[in-house]
Amino acid sequence: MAASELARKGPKLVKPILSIDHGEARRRVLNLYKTWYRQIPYIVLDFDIPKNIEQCRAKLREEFRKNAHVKDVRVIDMLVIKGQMELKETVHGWKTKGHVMTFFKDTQEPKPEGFLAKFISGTN
Amino acid sequence: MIVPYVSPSMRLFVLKTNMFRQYQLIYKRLMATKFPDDACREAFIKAAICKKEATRLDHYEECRMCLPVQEKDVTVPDEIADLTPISGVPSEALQKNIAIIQKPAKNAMQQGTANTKGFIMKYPNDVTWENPLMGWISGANSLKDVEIRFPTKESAAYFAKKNGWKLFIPKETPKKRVKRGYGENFAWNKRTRVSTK
Repeated sequence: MAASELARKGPKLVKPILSIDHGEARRRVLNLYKTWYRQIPYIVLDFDIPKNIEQCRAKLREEFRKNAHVKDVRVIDMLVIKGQMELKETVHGWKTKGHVMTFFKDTQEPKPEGFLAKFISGTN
Repeated sequence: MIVPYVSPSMRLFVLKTNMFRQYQLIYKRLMATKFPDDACREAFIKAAICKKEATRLDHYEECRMCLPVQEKDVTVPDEIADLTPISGVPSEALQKNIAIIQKPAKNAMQQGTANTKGFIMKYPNDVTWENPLMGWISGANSLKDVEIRFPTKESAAYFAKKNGWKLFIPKETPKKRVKRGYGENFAWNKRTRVSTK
């Protein structure tokens, strides 16, 4: 049970998702990054999004950097699998323009800052 | 050198493929080769580049597959793995909500204590408002209807920690148990027949 798991100390052996060590996980991450990087010119052309290649590559970098703190090999593997699913959806056109643009969150309104703005918008 | 005719669709295709040196090489090589006519050349170049592109896109899958999952177990540090990057829960939701772990309340309409075993994790609904016409209650928190059941408080806390939820565990109030025998229903001094006296 979870309680006994909490009590136990020291490293534990678990089933791997894909990689057996950090080196292998790193290779998979770099592999995914490169594939996205190379696909970006096509994405920009195919989806006709109002972003250029540099902006998309900056976003790609940002998305990968967002998870730079992740150390657990299994979590890294899951992220790689999810990233690959996203790529596949983009490449095969299962996504549309809007789906691709959600990476940029252009239509998301920024949260109100400060007391007055929060008061006017009715949130706290 | 005679530059062969390039149709607009072909120009776009070339523009697309100009991104990669290896495609440029294919293009240049095939442009220099003799073909019966320009349409044939275009078709040939497109086919060659598409084939190359297909292998490139499949390459990643192959890389993933050619490193098969080994039977060996991996060693991970024995701390609670942080699943927030892969749980799919938006970080705003994690910051905004505090999960509460408590015992579920007894159904006030019934005598029985069914469904009061174990613990539930739920999210308080902080802001609600009433519809002026119909009196319906609305809220801004879509997590308010989420109730997850756990056998123990620890397992609930473990789940919350793993998924990055902020946690509040209210102090349990011990249940008062009044032991009564059947005979006390007829006692003259126990005040058990309050409804008829």
